[in-house]
Amino acid sequence: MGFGLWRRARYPRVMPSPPAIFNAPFAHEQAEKLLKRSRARRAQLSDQAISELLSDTVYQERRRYESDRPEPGEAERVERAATAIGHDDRPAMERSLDELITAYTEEIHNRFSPRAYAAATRVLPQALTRLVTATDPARLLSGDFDPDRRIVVQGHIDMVRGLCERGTVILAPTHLSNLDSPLIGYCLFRAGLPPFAYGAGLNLFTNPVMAFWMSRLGAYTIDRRKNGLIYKETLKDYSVELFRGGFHSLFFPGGTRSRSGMVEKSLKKGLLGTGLQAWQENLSEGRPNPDVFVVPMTLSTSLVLEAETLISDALAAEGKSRYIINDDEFSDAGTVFSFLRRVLNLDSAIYATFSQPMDTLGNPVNAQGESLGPDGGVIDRRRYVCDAQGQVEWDEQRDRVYTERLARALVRAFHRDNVALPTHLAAMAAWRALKRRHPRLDTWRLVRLGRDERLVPKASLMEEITALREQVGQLAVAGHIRAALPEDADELLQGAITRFDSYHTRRTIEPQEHEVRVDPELALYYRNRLVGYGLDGDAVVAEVSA
Amino acid sequence: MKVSVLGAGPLTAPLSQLLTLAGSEVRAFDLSPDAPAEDHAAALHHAELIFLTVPGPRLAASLPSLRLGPEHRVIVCSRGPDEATGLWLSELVSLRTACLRVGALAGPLSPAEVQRGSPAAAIIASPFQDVRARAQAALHSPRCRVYTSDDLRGVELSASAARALTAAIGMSDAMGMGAGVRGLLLSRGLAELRRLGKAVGANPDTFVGLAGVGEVVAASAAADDAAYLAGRALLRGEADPHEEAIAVTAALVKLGARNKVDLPLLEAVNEVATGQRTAKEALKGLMERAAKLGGE
Repeated sequence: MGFGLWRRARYPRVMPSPPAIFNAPFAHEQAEKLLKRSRARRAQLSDQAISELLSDTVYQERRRYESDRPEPGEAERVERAATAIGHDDRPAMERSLDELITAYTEEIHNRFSPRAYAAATRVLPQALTRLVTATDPARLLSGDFDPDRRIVVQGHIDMVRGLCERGTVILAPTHLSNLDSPLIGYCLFRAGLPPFAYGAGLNLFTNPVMAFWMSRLGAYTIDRRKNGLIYKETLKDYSVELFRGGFHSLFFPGGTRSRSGMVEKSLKKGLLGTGLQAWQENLSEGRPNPDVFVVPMTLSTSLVLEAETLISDALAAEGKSRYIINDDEFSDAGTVFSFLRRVLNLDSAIYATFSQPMDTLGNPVNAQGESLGPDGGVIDRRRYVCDAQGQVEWDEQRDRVYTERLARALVRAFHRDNVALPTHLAAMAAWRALKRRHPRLDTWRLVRLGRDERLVPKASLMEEITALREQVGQLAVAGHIRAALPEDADELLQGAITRFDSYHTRRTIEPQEHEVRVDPELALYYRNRLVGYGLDGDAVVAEVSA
Repeated sequence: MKVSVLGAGPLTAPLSQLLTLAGSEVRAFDLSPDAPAEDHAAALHHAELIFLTVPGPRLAASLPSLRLGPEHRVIVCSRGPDEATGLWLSELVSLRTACLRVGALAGPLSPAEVQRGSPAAAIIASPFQDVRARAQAALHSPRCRVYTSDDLRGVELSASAARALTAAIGMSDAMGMGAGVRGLLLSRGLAELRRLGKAVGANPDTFVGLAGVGEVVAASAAADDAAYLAGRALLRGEADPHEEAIAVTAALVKLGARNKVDLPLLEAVNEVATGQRTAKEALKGLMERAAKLGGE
């Protein structure tokens, strides 16, 4: 690979050799590795346990076919497994398991293409510039567009670049929008970081153009409709193999887009624990560069493409909210382009913050990749998993507790590095003003208020903005949140209104003469980004103990 | 199994005795500030498992000198929460040191009864199965039954509240109240504990086990129990704020306030301990609370 494709990066490229992902394995090679893992595991299992494992998948898959049409060959595979279970025939059951794992691996696996990456990184900055300046050609001529002013990439970037050289890095970002993956891809490129593998929902591959690029730019496929244990194990094994192969990877530990707009408070531990697993396997085999690091990343955006759909889904009666949404704003290309154009025309619209990197147990690490204890001293993290002779002691239950600790550390980092923006603060102020006007109403009643009942006195809104600005300022000084807010309350409100109106068709905050009309759903959605700090009577995440 | 017992609390001797009976190779070390530093290093090096018996109010100050590391497994035997930080003692260890594999020991382990050779029972709680199994193996014997639980928060909370309730019963006994008041204190105390437990994510079943009911019943029947004696001393206005039962009562009241949980009984004991009310006024105040339908 030439060095040309790095030229546009904000930071110089320091990789001594092409990243491991440039030599991604073929699907059949990957399937072999995963089959080996599964066979080793099942050698310990009784006939009964194998039968239960397979039955679970047969049951889950048949249920799935009630709403989703199976792919060619898929249903037949599942029926063959059912027959093997019926005959209580272990060799046949094992063959069925192999067949399922191979098929799942082929579906999950995509092979990274250095050529597609080179093309994408050449085209991307120009595409972004064109996209923005298409509305205002004068800006193209004046050379006014600078993506760095629109998308602020900040935090421990240098450290992450160093750690990419020392081991394998897992990037764990917050998740608001389907645009997050391409946005993060862009941020990694701007930060001079190598390409990352990432897990993307199968629903994102429905668009053939997206599918073409994603499958070649490190995206592997996750089908969240598949609930069988065998699929989940295959996915976890796949992830472990990625880390062991030295592929830096990103996945969204929240599992899906935050429906409410809140920063993630509970995370999916399954994939998160695969880093710890890979590290221990590397240690026990004495591999060079065995370390796996976790880097939390917080995305803070003024506007969210799918805000309207996500919040109404979050508010839908419990049990009716959808885990997978296929008909939101993302599915309409026109809306996506219009959104991007508008957002990228706003200054400081997007903040991507790389938090303090950690080990796979949630301890902070220094630039050398050494783990740090509570007193700031270096600790030998191998002693958490090895005996006195340095041999790895395998203990899945212990590892689950360690992974829960990592998850709590991630949640705290997400909240600490979340950036409070004018739209969030104005929305929370509007929500508080609305609650002040209707003190007896709960959230569900507030979002159903009639048009005239949504009016609040402007003075009341300004009071709330001033008070909140002060509170958030204090939190920021104490290091509990980051803030990018103007000092002046009027300026802050105006900035927020301009941003809201630049995209949403419904007006979030609509000024009248002495009053403002609030759209309660949108105000709630954007306000929720500031939940977790005790600003609105909510529980404080920073106090959740480690 | 090689085990160290660190600290000079009242449990050090009976615990060492029971561990030895269970076949563990025990070394007990004093952790007072004037103990030689090489003792600490020897204690840590020796042990597969460390029992910390430093009294709760002194634990935070002792931790830096302990140099606990990633390789250690620690069972905390004293009672929290730490009054200054509001942290449970196991949290204090896992947040202030590099040791993550922590657990707690609780239950009716009366030093005098262990000395006399009576059968005893204890509960070990830890989120780590490996820690629970090792601690059980180290302590379980025909003399001491050891149960385990993964509800570390519940066991720590129950064990602390048991100290506070025992003090309340000691106080009421000293006032000459009858068995009816004992029953009232125990049952209302448990109701407070359930509310507090719910707020901090503990399993309510834990409170009716060894760490909660088991310990209150045993401690309040033993005339020499430290918490019971501290409760009796309250009536004479002689509360020692450093006594474990008095310190944990204050910490639990703070925890209740932070979680907006109503704890009238514990608050009354705390008010007596801090001199805001006499024992008689406190009891009167409790009895005069407005009657509630349902009782919870």
